[in-house]
Amino acid sequence: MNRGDRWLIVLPLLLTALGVIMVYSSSAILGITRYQDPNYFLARQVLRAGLGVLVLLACATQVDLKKLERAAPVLFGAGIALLVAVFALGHVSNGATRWLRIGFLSVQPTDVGRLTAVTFLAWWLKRNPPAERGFVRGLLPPLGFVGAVAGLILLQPNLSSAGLLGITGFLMLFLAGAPLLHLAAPVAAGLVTGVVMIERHPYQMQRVATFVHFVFTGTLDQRGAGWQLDQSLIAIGSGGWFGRGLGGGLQKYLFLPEAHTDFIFSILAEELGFIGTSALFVLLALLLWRCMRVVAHAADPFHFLLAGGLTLQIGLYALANLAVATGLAPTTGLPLPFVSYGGTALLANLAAAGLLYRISAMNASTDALVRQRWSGGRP
Amino acid sequence: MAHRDSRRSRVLVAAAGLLLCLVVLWLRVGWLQVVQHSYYAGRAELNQEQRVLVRPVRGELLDRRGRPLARDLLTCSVSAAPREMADPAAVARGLAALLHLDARWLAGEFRAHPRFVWVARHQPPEVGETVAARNWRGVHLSVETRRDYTLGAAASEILGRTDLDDSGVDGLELQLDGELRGRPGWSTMFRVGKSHTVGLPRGLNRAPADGRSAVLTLDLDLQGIVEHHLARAVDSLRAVRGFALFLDPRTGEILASVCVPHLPPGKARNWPFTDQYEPGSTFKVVAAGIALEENLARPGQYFEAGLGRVLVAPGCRFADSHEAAGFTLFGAVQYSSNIVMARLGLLAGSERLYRYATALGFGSLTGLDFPGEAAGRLHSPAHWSARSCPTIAIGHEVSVTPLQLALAYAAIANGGVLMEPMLVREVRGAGGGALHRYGPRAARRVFSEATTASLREMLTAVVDSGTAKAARIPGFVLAGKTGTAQKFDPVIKGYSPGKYLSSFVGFAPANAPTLVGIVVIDEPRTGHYYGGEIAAPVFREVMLDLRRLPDGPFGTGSTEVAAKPPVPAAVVVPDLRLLPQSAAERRLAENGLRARFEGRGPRALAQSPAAGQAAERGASVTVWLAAPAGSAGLVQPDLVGLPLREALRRLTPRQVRTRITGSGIVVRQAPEAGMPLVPGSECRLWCEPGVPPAASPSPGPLSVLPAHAERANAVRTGA
Repeated sequence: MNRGDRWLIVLPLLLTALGVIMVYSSSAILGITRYQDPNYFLARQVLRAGLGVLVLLACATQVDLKKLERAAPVLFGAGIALLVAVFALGHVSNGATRWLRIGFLSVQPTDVGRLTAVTFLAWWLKRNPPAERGFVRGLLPPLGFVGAVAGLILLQPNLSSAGLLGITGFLMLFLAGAPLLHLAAPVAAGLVTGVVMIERHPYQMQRVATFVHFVFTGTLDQRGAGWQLDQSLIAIGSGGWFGRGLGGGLQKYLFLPEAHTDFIFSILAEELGFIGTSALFVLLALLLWRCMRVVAHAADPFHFLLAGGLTLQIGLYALANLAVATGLAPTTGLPLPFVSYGGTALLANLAAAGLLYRISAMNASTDALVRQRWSGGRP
Repeated sequence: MAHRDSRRSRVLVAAAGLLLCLVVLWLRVGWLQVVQHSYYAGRAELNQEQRVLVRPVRGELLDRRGRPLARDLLTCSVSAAPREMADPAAVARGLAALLHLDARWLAGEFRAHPRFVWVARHQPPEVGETVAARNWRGVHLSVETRRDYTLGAAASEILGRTDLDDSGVDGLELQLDGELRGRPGWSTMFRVGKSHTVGLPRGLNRAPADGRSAVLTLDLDLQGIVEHHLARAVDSLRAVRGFALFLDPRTGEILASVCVPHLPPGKARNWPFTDQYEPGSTFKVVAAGIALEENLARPGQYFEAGLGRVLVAPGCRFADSHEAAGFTLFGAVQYSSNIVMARLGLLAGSERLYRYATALGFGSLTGLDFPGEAAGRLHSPAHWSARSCPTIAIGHEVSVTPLQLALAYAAIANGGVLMEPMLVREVRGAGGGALHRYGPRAARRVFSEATTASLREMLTAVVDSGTAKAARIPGFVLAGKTGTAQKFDPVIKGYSPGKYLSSFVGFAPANAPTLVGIVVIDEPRTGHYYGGEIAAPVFREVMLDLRRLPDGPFGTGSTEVAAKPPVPAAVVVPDLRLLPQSAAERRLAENGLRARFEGRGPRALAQSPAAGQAAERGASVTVWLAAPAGSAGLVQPDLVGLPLREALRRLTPRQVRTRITGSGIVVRQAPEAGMPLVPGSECRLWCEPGVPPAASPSPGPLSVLPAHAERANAVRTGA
């Protein structure tokens, strides 16, 4: 067996390590105020990171992609079941039902669901290439599957994750070679769904209105809905070139809600400055580049689409999170992959990285085979 | 293969899209962090609405021996947030036991106010420590300070007060506020919801710098003694008020300044510095001093007194209470003869009278910098009338503050040197080390040693057998002078009968004075009003108490004082006549003299002291400026301070149109004095009603004076 692209192991681990540090820095005060324990969040994140490394290594070495391909429909079913279960048994937090308690861990079924959906979509598109099946048979069924999962996520309600899953599915169709004209229809459908969801949920409506107001006037309602974004911008902007130094940030002192999860980038920017954020961007760019390289080199259509889907999931979450933190998108609760506090998302992303490594290893062996063939019978 | 190429290009598009978005975000972050950094750094600072000011401890005011007069006391206030407690009832029992409160009542308070309740305020710090040691959850301590004044109200006028924000609002607390205030510190606190704040563990705070302390020249004992006797006198005489000032004649250090009654903060004024009044007979030492210093008269020289009523000058009739055919100069001081003193005033002449009075500090601020200090009133001889010389000589047509008068007597007591008054001896840092020390400073020599020795003898005789016999203490030689002035009543616009201001200025011991004091009683209402009967006994009581004090100014250690400062060497006054103003000022500066200009005009016409005379270095020379002869009518005269009628009389020959606003005294004029005046142009005068300056001519001779020497015209009390 050939070795895969080691960058795909190193970069996620680097990001996870950075995440653990930043989670500690940004959550210690919250830990003290909520649980009288500055290490409360750190301990949990370290535990999850350790678990995540095991998952990463397991995915990178133990997973048989052929078996995975075969199991894709079953996994998809399990993901849907989890998403349904969350309604019956889930925890309510922040106006949304997103959590499922299994043993000592709270699991976010969204993260499980989106991975199984991507796997299943790759499985389906390999068997039914959209370019060959036409609009109705080639496009509607995969959109239906993605739509079903996204719809379940949407009902929690978690508009942003649902939206990102929808965009991922759409882009996978694009990668799978669907005619561009056919792709216009789902864009329209997605827009309509988004508008309806926003209309129906006041808190999302408010966030979008705040964002629109911010985009057009550059000012924020600093006391109401714009508070989080305003505090985030203050954190990022006050970092300057070199930041306040690790642990020296001020905005995490309960000014910035969710500093250790959705707005961890703001704390990183405040404490490490533009130098630190640039380093983070370099890490992310390197990771996405190596991932896309895996996608480009994949020989098998399932490998190609699975790698593409996983890359898009990581990339889109990163972009959306950064856009929210910097005020380029309406405020939503999306974690920064590998960095933000959160168990299921970290495990899911590390598993995705492991699978990408696995695929890169398969690519390498295919490439080696091709090279061997071309070099003829030379010993 | 077309399919494979299309796949490759689509991957490229996706990858390019992702990376492009990443670059856009990177630029956005760069924009926020680099370009807009200063804006957001400022916004981050503004999050300090959670910043809590930590007040510094205000510096202490100490008396001359380091005993506190005003200090910040730390107090501890205990508050509770019963909601945070595990067992409010148990905490209530514990707290009640510690603070000696009713446990049942406290438990009830806890139930009634679950969020916040004051348990006990302004407790001593030890109580706070014991409460803190119990470490109850939900019990909070806050440290506060309270300004404590050792003497209470007795020194409240001179020391002043602080407001709720701990900054000085009047008196020395205001004057020294910059030193005492210190620099506040802050620490960053964060509010979560409404119930609790979180202090930042470390960093992000600035310790407050405590204020500096000031060692004052005041003497705690003396201040208390004077206040006691003055208050008793004001009470028993049913007087409106009384004030007293004591200082050390050798150094100019102010030892006590007392006002009675003690008005509420905001209305209280330190009258010895802020009030000016017509001094009456206490001012007579000036004329007597001039006569001796300028060799106009010898102490034994005999003056006619015409059995109590004499026309001293045309239109000026003066009267004495002590009817005699005549006095020696010595006797005139001893029995306070108006007639002889008025004659001496005429003998001295306006120039000398004015020069010596200004040299003694009358008519100008003493340089004490005390808030609200008054300058007194002494008009320049240009505004004097024929009556002014004799009237000023007996202490009318001038207003003085008790401080000025005490300093003038101090000059007589210490051998002729006018001292600058002192209130602060030393400024100490928060740690206790001295930062600045202030020593006594002499302003100038006014009288020679011989003159002051004669004056001291006369003033000793005043107490021994003259008008101030009530101050006499067997076995202890005092000196002093009494004064009684009738008060001016603004309602009837004249001196009101039966309202007097009785005063006494004295020093002790008479041969080597270490203490000068002035006592003024306003409107005594028991029938007596002579300064010798009303104010002198207060001085006597103070002296008696001081002599009993083992370490008082007359005790054994009293002779050690800072070395007497050297008197500036004399210089010869240059001839300034016909010099332009700037040249005259320069020539005076070259000789170490100060210039004081009177009038307007391009050239100096006259000067005082005259050219060739000796003057102390730093003394001021008065230079009268005037326009060249012939152009006098074309220059705007100086009308400010004149009654309107007189101003109009002076303007008449100049053929200008006048526009008048208000009535009474001219307070402002346009064009300014000294400006060229075109006949037919307009001259505006702004007037305000008020008492005409003493020097202004008023209709009718000042002939009807009260039948007593002590009694005199007076007094505008306050503005």
